[in-house]
Amino acid sequence: MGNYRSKLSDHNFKKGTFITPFNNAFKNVCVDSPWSTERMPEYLWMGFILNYYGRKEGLLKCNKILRWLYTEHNNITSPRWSLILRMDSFDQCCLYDYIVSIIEPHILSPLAILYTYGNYPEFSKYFCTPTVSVTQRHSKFLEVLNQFYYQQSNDTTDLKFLVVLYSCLTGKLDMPKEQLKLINEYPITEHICERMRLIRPTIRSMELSLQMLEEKNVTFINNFWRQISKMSDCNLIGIKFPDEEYDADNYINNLQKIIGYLSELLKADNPLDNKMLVLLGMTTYSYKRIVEIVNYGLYNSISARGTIRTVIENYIMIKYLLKHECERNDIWTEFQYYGIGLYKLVLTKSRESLNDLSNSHVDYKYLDILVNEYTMEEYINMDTSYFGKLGIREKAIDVDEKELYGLFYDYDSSYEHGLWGAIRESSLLKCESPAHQYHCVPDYENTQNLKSVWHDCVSTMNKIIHLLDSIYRIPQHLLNEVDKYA
Amino acid sequence: MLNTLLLNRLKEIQAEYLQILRKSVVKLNSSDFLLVIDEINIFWFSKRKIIKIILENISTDYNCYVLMAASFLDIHDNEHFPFVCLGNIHLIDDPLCNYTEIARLNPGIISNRKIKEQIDLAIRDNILILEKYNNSIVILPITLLHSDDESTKLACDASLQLISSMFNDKFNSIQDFTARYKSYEDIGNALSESAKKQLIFTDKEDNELSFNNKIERYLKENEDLFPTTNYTESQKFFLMIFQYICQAFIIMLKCAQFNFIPYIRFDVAFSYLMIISSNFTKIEQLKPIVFKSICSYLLYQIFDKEKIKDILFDDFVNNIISYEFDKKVFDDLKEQNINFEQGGANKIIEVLNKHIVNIF
Repeated sequence: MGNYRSKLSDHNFKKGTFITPFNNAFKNVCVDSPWSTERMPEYLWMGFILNYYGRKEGLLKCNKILRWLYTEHNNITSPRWSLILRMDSFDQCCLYDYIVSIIEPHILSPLAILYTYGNYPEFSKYFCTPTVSVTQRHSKFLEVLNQFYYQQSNDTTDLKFLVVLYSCLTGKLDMPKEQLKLINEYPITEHICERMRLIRPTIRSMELSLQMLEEKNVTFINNFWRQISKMSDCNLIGIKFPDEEYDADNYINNLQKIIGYLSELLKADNPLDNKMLVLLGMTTYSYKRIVEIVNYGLYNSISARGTIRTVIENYIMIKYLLKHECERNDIWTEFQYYGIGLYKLVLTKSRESLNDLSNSHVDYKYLDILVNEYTMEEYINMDTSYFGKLGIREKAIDVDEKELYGLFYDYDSSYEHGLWGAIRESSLLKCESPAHQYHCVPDYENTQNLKSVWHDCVSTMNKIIHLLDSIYRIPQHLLNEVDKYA
Repeated sequence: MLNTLLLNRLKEIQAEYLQILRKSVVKLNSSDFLLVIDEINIFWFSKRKIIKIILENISTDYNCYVLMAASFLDIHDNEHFPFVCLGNIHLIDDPLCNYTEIARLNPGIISNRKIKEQIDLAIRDNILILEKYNNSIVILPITLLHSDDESTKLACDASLQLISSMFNDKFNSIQDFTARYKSYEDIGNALSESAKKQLIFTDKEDNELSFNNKIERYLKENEDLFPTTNYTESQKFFLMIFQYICQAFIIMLKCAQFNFIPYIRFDVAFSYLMIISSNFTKIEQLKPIVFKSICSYLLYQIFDKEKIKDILFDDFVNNIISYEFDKKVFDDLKEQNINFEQGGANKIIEVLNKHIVNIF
């Protein structure tokens, strides 16, 4: 598959889901068990040999061992560790006798921290090294686990080669002469050779087809991961963006001047201008949210993503209202009462609640006053659909801001809804330990932060300002002072 | 107190440990002896993370007593009876851990018959505890497994400082010490009379011996575990007191970390714990730890095992709980204003004697 990435248009859009071309083509075919988690533990024992002796000598030594194994025990159908451990005591000892004649015993000692004396006395007797600290053996274990974890690395392909080699001994795979030739070339060709770009994928796909012939030993694999994961520490990394200098105070001072100018204009020129009130109200709301970012240094915070989402939504809504004002009697009042209607809905429900709401952050008594401020609530309907019957996405398309929605708003929505993408990005730390399958853990010490929202806040806020300028003509010297930050 | 999840994990760990010990006790005299010890080592290593969480949550309110500086509890000698008198939770710092470390560093020592016998005793004692007394006593690795490099270094540095202050000097290493002092006589001359009297090495009987005799006695009794044939007198002395002082600091660090009370029967370890405690009189958190440790040591001294010879352990535990022995003793001590800073051993013994009759 390499680095190819399907375009959006390549996907099949069905009932709200974009289905990938791959899933579309192979929807009924079962997915193979992953190398890292379900196959590698069985072959890791050979990995220790490759790790210690290097590729060339390691492959030679493993080859000898595998030939011996098959010659003496042709009922062992693949070089899986679970099968070897199941051999009877005498057979295991014979095998280990042979192995220690080929390799130094300490090489497999890290395995002996999982397969200990109590349950695996034969293995332990040959390979356990009590004079080496457990920490050291464990550390080596992790090193080798890491080396063979990734399924397409050269090292892993070496390991897969050994699996394929064993199948040649057992005669399990029928293969054309050309393929056999490639197998023969593999151990004697350096990875840097061009030819290996053909041979490696062949080996990997052969191993893949082989694993489908064997039933996986679920108990063995589960025990492997249970033991090694509990035994190992996390090795955590997080992302921290540095603090930057934004000259933000100046920007918001200049914004304040513009909004101040327009507010004074509203009060002086036409205090009853509802359209201007709505436009300035939305602008001020966005401005106040940006001020919070500056005052509390929230540039790299989770909260700030909520702010930029709001600023974008306000901008799209302003554009939408301006575009459609001629089609409606009084779109501005309609917009206000749409919002007040939603407040009324909350207020009405609060009256029916049996709980003590006095400590709530929602000031229901104040809401009552606001809802009934100009019109009695008995005359106010509550519209729970989208304003103008269009969701924010459709509105964005309507006002030619599809990209703003698709690239920013949609991303910030994951944060507002606490969806997993946002959680993964903001609240989880990556663990670099292969023993933990590179899992993630909670960032409860708050060590991570996020990329700054500042640039997008400024550019979107400036767009709002320019919309207002197109209607009310803001003095140029004030405009210049915010434009220079874009 | 542990929640259900941690309690279950603890029980699982104890059960698994019992399995390992049962298998290992039959193999002690075989050539696989070292593998047996190593398996115990690997077992505790593999459980260290969950054990740390258990240790961090098991003790509340200074009610958890941990047997430390002991080679085994000794169920056959009814040592579990005095152990459970005070406190709600009773842990044993697994003595087998010491042997695993020695086995790794010096396998030759472990093969020594006397040491093997000690290990055998400890394993059998542990098995008894895990089989019959697991509701009252828990075995976990505390000092060995959870000593990270930092706390070990801290203990070593503190020990050097203490030794330096004993000699009114400054030693940064054993080499500094051995450069200054050559013989026991040199060392003896440099110490004050009270210091020479205070330092004991084998047990209480050292109090009757001269300084040089005390040292010789220790070396003779411990020649298996403390081989010093090519060491100078100065080196031997230094290693001897350094190990005790360092052990005392590690005990203090671990107990402070987890809010445990060290239950120490061994006179020598206890005396060094008292020597180093005098440095911590200003630390509030350590006061109840040291005070209760003293109380439990004194209780052990006055405990008459004759009195429990015909009592079942479970009945004894019920007596302690129904009489509220721990509460009564410490309430009484508080009322009389007896604590770490004032009162004295005799007063504590008086209170203990007054209440202990009610639990037999």
